[in-house]
Amino acid sequence: MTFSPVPISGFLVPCNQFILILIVSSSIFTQYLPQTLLPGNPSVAQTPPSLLQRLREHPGDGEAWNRFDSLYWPLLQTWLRRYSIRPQDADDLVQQVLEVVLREMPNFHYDAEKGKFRGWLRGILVNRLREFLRSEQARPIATGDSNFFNKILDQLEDPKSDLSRLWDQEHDQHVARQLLAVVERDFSPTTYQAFLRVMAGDQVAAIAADLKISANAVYLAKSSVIKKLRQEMYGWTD
Amino acid sequence: MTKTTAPHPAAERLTSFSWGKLDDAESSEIAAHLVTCADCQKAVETLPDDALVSLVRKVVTKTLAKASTVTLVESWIPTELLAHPRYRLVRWLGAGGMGVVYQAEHRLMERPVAIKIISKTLTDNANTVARFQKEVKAAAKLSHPNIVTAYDAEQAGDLHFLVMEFIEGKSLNRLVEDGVPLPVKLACKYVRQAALGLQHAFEQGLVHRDIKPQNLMLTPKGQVKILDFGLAGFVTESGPVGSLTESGQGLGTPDYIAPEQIRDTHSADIRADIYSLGCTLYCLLTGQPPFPDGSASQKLVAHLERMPKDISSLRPDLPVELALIVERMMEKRPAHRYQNPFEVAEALAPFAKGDDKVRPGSNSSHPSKLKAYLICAGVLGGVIGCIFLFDLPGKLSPFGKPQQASVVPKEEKEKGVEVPKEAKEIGVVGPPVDLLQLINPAKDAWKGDWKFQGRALISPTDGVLRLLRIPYIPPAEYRIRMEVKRLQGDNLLCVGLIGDGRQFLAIFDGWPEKDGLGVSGLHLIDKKQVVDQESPRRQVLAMGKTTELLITVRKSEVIVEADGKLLQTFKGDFNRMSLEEYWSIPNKDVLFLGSHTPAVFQITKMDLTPISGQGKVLALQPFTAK
Repeated sequence: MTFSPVPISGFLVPCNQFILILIVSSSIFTQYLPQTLLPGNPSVAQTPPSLLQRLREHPGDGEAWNRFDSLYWPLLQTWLRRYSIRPQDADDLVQQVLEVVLREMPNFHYDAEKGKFRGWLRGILVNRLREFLRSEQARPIATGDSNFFNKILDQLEDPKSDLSRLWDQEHDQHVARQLLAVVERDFSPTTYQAFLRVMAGDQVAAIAADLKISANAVYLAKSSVIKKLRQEMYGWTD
Repeated sequence: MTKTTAPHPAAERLTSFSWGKLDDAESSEIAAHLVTCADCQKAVETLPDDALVSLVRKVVTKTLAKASTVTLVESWIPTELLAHPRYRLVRWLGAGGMGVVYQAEHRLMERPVAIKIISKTLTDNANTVARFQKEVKAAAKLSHPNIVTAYDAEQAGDLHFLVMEFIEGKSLNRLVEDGVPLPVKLACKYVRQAALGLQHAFEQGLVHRDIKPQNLMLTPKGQVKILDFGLAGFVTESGPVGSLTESGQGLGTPDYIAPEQIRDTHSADIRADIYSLGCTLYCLLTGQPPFPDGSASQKLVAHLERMPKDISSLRPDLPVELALIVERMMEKRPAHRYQNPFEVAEALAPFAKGDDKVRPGSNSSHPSKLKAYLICAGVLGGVIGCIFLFDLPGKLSPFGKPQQASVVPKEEKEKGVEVPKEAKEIGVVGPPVDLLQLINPAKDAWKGDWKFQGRALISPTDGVLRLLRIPYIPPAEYRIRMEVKRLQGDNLLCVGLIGDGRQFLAIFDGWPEKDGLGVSGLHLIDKKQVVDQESPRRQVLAMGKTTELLITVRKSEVIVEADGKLLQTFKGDFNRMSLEEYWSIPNKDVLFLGSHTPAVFQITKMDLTPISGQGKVLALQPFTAK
């Protein structure tokens, strides 16, 4: 969430009043700053933290870690299997990646330079794979060509490569899908249904008629679900 | 803002609204404006997406494309519940074959519960009501960490409803929704917990009859709880038989229903639940149910008459023993399955160990200790109903010994002893047999001077064909693990195997060409030698390198692997296998080893792990003639 001063009610707030507002709101949010990643929307106090936020602030939160694990297992597994890593090795590797994430999470800071969580995670995956390759030198990997493998890792390391872009895309879609399911809980089935259909491109009037709700409700459905998802995905997206 | 000509919101604000970036008050404002303003409506519809919105759009269209028709369910709240003295309704959760489920709160205790309202049509019949109440009383006896607890059954006016434990988590089908299977450890861990819950119910004389992944809830702590949202018996009494919907309510789910249950619902006993649990395990391990294609009636036929796709072909990394467990759980005839859920739990125990994130059965079974959780109401997942309604089987079950089972201290079993690696893979059917130890070259060498150097067996350097018997008759199904190093020369090592009483060979690096690459495989199949079977040329046993060979023999199947790579699979009747005179030894029922000049091998390990049946060590006379 960005904190951008918006002209209030169609006219500009006089300069000194504006500064006052700024000072007041910044004092409100500085007390939150060490604890949250959000740069200063005062309503952050009421916003439940996203999964990534929870993991950063409370590394001991077992429930959050379980959710994180079950979120990432299928994605990481799919990626490893794609490169013919043996399933038993894949299991171990995914476990290792998740353990590194657990350990290093407090050090993860999203900034425009270092990049997003998915890039950080990708980096960890590449490191683990390189370690794995080194240790498995004596045994041939399923594809039989460790050189081929190294080329893949090089690509994965380069954030501009096609492979990295593919990883980013798949990662985002996967996370969004999982978190949508979480967000769904907070809405009535009707609202969620309306949201789905708006996203699928249906006409608002048709949706309103089918679901027996007002058009108003349909508009709000889309906007509220997206809003909730944005909150859930905080830390993954900017 | 109710002005008749409200000013249009700035484009920026509209965009922020569309992207969900405004706060609630502002959002309501804009939504209200949009309803009255056609221009702004158009504007909103043509707004671009930001990164998140476009991402969601992609995800939604993919999800919708996969789902069948997304059904909308009614959400009426019966007046009888609106003003209930004890419970305050919080919200609607979902609906299933039997009724609707709400989240509620016990007013005094402030404990969240789930309330399932039994459909009015079902309760109109006085018989049904009586039977339902009897079932509920039976179910209330269940108290187990792996079963969702039923607290109460109540009547409010004409409405009958059940009060149950409220669980946060997701049903197991959500974990494999996208077709990606679960890791073996997790799948086995979850199914094992379900089996333990089923065992508890079985000991109370109850059967579930609707076991499936949708009915197994996974709490955030990694605990599985069985719940139910359909009484197969109830629905058939008041609805048309065979009325199966897409989501599978009705006569149990067509994807997981046991054959005997299809023929006669009421004859189904705990073994039908074991079948369903087996189908569930199949689904968790492969990402799809055993019979994924076809209409509901086609699936019913499949359960009755057809075999599912071989689980090992869908998931080649699966330990052989585990595939056998799934098969046994899914045997068509109940008498061939495990006879009680405890046996299933035991069989799965070695595969469920080692996942240290999840602590098995560690949560208390007392409802009062459970924390407040939210139930996740999946659109496609259907009802998250929480009572585990059982049917009392007509006769006392003669199979399994529930009394004996409950004597075994379950806590001990779960903490577990450190299972050796071999046993973990194959299963605890029998300890591995060290075949090398059984060999005495003085007695057992048929051709060539085989000898031991310390604990390692060295193949001969003299002669052309060298053969050594192992005085051991293997069990019906087994796995041999060997560690072999090529010391000298090209050419083959062979292992003499027995399958269904027939002797045949597994050959490695035979008939090498000038480049040293040979053929490996099984010999003879349909009287064909390996070299005539058009197998690829490669070198399996490299010079100076210790290679691990793995040969698995099961009824109608042989799998040959080297260093984790699959070399050959044979599936079929062992009658097709044979051995030429050239390769044979006088004893026709034992395992043996062989090599061909100029190759010399060092064998440092040769273990046999039984999968089924019993092997036999023989005391044989030494060969007199050579």
